[in-house]
Amino acid sequence: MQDDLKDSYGILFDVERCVGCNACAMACKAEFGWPEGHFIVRVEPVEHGAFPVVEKNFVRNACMHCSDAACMMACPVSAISRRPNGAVFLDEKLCIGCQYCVISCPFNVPQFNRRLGKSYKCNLCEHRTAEGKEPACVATCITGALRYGKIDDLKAQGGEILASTGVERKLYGESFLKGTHVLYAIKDEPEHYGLNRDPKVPLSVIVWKQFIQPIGTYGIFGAIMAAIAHYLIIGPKKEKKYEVKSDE
Amino acid sequence: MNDTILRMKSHEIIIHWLHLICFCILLVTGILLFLPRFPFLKGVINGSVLTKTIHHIFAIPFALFLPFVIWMFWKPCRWEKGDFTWITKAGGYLGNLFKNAPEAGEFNAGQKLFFYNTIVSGILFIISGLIMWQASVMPPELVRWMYIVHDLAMVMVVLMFVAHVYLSTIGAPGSFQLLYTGRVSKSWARLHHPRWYKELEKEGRV
Ligand code: HEM
Ligand code: SF4
Ligand code: SF4
Repeated sequence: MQDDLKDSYGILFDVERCVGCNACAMACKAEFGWPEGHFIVRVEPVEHGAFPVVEKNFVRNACMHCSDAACMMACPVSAISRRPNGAVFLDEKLCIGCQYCVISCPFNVPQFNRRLGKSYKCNLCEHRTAEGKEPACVATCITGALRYGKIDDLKAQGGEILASTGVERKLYGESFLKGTHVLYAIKDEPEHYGLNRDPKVPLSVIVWKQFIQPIGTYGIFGAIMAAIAHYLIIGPKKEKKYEVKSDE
Repeated sequence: MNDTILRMKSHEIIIHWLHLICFCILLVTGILLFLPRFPFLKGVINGSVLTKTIHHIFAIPFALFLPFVIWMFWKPCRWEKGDFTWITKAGGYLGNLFKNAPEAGEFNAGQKLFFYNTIVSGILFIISGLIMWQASVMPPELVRWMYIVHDLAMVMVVLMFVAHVYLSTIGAPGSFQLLYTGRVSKSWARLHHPRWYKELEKEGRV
């Protein structure tokens, strides 16, 4: 697992600049041709109050590319892996559609497609970044609410955005799950934007994948070894010769 | 005239086989999802959409046979006095380590424990399995804990299943024929289940 975010790339989302045009969601859909019903990038409105005293924001929701990625831990076939640029990549070819990632992600990100029998999420447009292009959503954003770049640069830029408001605040994503690769510049509490304040890898996923699974595997392996050892050392429980003679 | 004893009736053999086959298919298809991914296995025994479908299909007969298994072993597997001592002495299977294990009746205490294990894990499999099956309408937190329950049930029954397979094949020669003839030799009965043999003798059935 990659703890060091230094050479990683990611996305910075500036909520203040987002006008809710959904261009990023459309660009993603067009880029991948996601099947009917699937939006891997979603832009959701969050409203407070009632007209005329109303505040309305739009929040982009997609994979956060966590450094401590629950989906990756949960996947039984290693279809989800860490890329050199830090992205959490879901390989459609390896996916068997078990949906373990779907039930494990603290952000409810991966989506299962019934017809294709596979799960999908944002892969940080690996095919584009490999050619030096920005991810489709970033490239299409007209207001500059989305930026792609090195995490350090994004943190610096995000810090400036927040500093301009005079609020002492970290970027959303910096302080949990060992840091995410998608960061939000938000000027109020996370709850204000419908965001989870403290997302964690669920305890159940840790117990399931890091305790039960290895302990169970070694246990079963050990039992098989014990049976073989019993056979070789103590030997099977055989009928002895003298016991056979009293047959009626 | 005959030096074999009837130990399993034909309907019992059939139930045992059906349950065993379902169990093995569920075990293989389940364990593919359970095993940690060794890098060298990546893309080889991946499990597939098919594994999952097979698991779901065979879960149904497995669940349906369970009551029959319980019914057919319930009486002979009742826990008795000497059984606890038998366990503490590992049934005499550990050579000279523990001696003088009490004589076993129709079933020894280890087999009885395996029977209880089958019931408990079977019920856990069914409850957790149904919730995992209907994951889309269940809270994810519950589904994840059910995976843990399902896995614990699997580990607890497989540990004893390994011993069961070993002792019914190479670990105790003369046992496996039970599953196709239903009969064992008298010397086998005297060796493995002396108290049962004596009861049969008393009843004049051997
Ligand atoms: C009525 C009986 C059973 C039901 C309803 C059931 C159902 C399920 C379901 C729904 C899953 C999730 C897999 C998926 O949907 O992709 C699963 C996984 C699994 N099952 Fe079963 N199952 C049953 C019996 C068994 C038995 C008898 C075994 C083994 C001896 C077993 C071992 C497993 C294992 C190891 C997994 C994978 C769990 C993991 O990945 O952590 N199951 N089962
Ligand atoms: S947001 Fe969810 S899907 Fe994305 S890396 Fe984190 S756990 Fe995985
Ligand atoms: S649905 Fe696919 S990607 Fe998600 S955990 Fe299962 S195999 Fe892995």
